[in-house]
Amino acid sequence: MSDNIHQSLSHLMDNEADELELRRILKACDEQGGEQLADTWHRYHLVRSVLHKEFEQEQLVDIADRISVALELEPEPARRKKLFENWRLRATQISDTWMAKGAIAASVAAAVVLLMPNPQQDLPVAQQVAAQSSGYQQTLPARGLQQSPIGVQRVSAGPDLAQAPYQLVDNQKLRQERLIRGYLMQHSEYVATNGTHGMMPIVRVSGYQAAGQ
Amino acid sequence: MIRKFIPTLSLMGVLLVSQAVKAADTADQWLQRFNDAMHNYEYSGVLVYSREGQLDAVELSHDVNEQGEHARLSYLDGLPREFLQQGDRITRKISGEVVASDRIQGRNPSGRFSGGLERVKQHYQLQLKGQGRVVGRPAVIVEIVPRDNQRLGYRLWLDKESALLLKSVTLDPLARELETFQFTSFSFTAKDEQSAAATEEEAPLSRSQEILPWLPDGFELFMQKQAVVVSDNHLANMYSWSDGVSTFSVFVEPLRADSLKEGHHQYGATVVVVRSIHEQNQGRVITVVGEIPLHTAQKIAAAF
Repeated sequence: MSDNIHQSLSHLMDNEADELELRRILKACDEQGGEQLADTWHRYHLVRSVLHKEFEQEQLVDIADRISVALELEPEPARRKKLFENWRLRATQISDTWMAKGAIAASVAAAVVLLMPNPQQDLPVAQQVAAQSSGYQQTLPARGLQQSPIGVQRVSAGPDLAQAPYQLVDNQKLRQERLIRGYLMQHSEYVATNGTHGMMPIVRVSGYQAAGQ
Repeated sequence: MIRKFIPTLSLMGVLLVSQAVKAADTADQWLQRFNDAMHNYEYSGVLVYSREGQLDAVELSHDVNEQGEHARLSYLDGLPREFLQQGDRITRKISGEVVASDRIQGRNPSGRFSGGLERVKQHYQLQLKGQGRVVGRPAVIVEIVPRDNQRLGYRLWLDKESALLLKSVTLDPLARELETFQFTSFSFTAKDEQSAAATEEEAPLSRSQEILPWLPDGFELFMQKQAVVVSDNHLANMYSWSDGVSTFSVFVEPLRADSLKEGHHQYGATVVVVRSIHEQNQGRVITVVGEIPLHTAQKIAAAF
């Protein structure tokens, strides 16, 4: 892909693209290799979000911990463990430079984002990570840091790979939804005990309950 | 508050009458029978709830004895979540573990066609819409049609034998379907004894006008509670209004960085409208939640 198009992408992100550039990007998206361009667009946004600290730091640390725990507990030993150790070693080696820090943050962010539990599935995060670990373990250490110049690599999270980028979970939105559920729950309990429909209204809350688990 | 006993008394009165006159043939009579049946019968079944983009199945059972009503609602899909109602207490469980238990104060039959059907009929028309069949049982269709556009309507399928609710569709003021509750399996047992859950004397409620600058016609404050736990670190004062059929709640709390953002949300029949008010030192957040039209909820919030 030409540098031109990347420059246009960058302009578009900063809201500085002119109409010609916009058309060029849209055209490029339709052409062969357009997916690659979409990936780049996605990565740019991810990088910007990380740099602007739009992802909750707490959440990052939290899940990163659990990922390491899941890795530690992984029963299949030798080869993978070595890979993980290698990766960690390399990470510490290059962690002095700012870029490297950014890269690690970004790849952890990517891992966090893509490994966010699918709301449809009800396994707790740790279990889900464990269940999917064989999938990402191979890709995260091997390609996560080496191949991508900015350190953000789409990490396989199992069978959902193709849809993963579109499941970008906005933490703030998630938190808001969880809070809304609190209000709905309180309201529905009163409706259930004082209303005409008996306990039925409680069922209304389920959607939020499921999404928040 | 003698006024609050009147609904109870009139309810008991009509209850006796409806016992005597078993054959109900007007919408009013069917609704009265339904109202009594829903809280006095033992029944159970699988209930599905659907609204745009969502379908849930729960197991619901209801019983009544000297201690009051007992109900259990448990989800058949996803995490095993459960709600237990015992008298005026609702307990939530996830995977068998109790996660919350709330005592529901302000229990009066305010939502249950309180003030008798006469009050309800000031704001709704009650119509018989013929007969149908739900869960393999013959049913009577009763429609509760709002007289203005400040409330939602309901289409109810009542079991012909017991007058229990088999199916309910919530309609917006333009009669579009918002959500559906429906039993897909159902059984009930008639109870000889009627529960006489006494209504406790509650502290007098504030006047609605002191809390709400604007109130849709016909809604009366039936509950107010300080410092309701909305989430782990959010407390709000909660007020609930009912017109005898529909209910909405208003939550008022200090504005914080992690408060809900302004905006509105709609989930089936339920709307949530959030408004933050910036005052001199301390802002407030007003959250209106209820089964009312969106424009009504917005007007309530905007009046603050």
